[in-house]
Amino acid sequence: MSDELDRELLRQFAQASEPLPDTQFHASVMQEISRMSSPWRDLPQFIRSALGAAGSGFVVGLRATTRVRLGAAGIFAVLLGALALLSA
Amino acid sequence: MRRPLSTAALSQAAEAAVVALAIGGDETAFSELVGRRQTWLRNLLRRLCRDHALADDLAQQVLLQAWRGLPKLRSVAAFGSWLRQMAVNAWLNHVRSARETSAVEIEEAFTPTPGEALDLDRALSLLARDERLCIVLAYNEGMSHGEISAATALPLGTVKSHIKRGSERLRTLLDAYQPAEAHHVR
Repeated sequence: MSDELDRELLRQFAQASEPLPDTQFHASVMQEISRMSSPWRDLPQFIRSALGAAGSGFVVGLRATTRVRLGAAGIFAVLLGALALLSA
Repeated sequence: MRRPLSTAALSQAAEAAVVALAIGGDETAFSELVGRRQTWLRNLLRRLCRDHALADDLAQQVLLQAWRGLPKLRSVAAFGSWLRQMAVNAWLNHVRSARETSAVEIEEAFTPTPGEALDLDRALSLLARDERLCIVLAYNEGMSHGEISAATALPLGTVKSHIKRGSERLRTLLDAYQPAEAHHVR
């Protein structure tokens, strides 16, 4: 038989497959799954995206109306200002 | 609409039925599957990894991946082999990402001396990656050479020679590094 295996090794593999304590492992997996399934799991990402979109929209609008050329520092300053206004 | 089963009913249910419920998004059913499969999955990864903590991390990763991917499972009967394939892929991805250091680590991390007990996992860790994978799938999982070839994408002839040479090397390693008392008993 071409798939014949070493009997002693088969015995050692069977012996090594002992039951493992599962409480902690199981709890940890299910905790992660609950976190993944939570309707709020994407909230931080949503907030970050919304703030980013609002900020860049604000900058584009500001540049269009004032025709001001803003450098990276300027854009950063405007974004900070917008965030300060939003959080006030 | 399916009504969720109680935990007691789930524990009595056939795996195919539990898998079907889990595919529908039933977390309790998936929890039952985790309970049923965790020992097998962790033991499989322990045979492949040198490090038991790493094996458990990979097992957790595989189960989370399974939860996300369950809607794509074609047949409830294939759950076990699907999970096994994900475990093999997770291990291979890990080994590939750590390839730069792994060869050095194998040599440096553990060099047995005669008279020292060498358990199966330590002996397996001294085999080459593909050889170890073929050996574990054959001996631990009872897969045929053809099934291993399909699961690993290795040619059938390569699988056969890995199993033949790997078995010989594993026997030699395990026989050579026995505790001192075992030599005396013999």
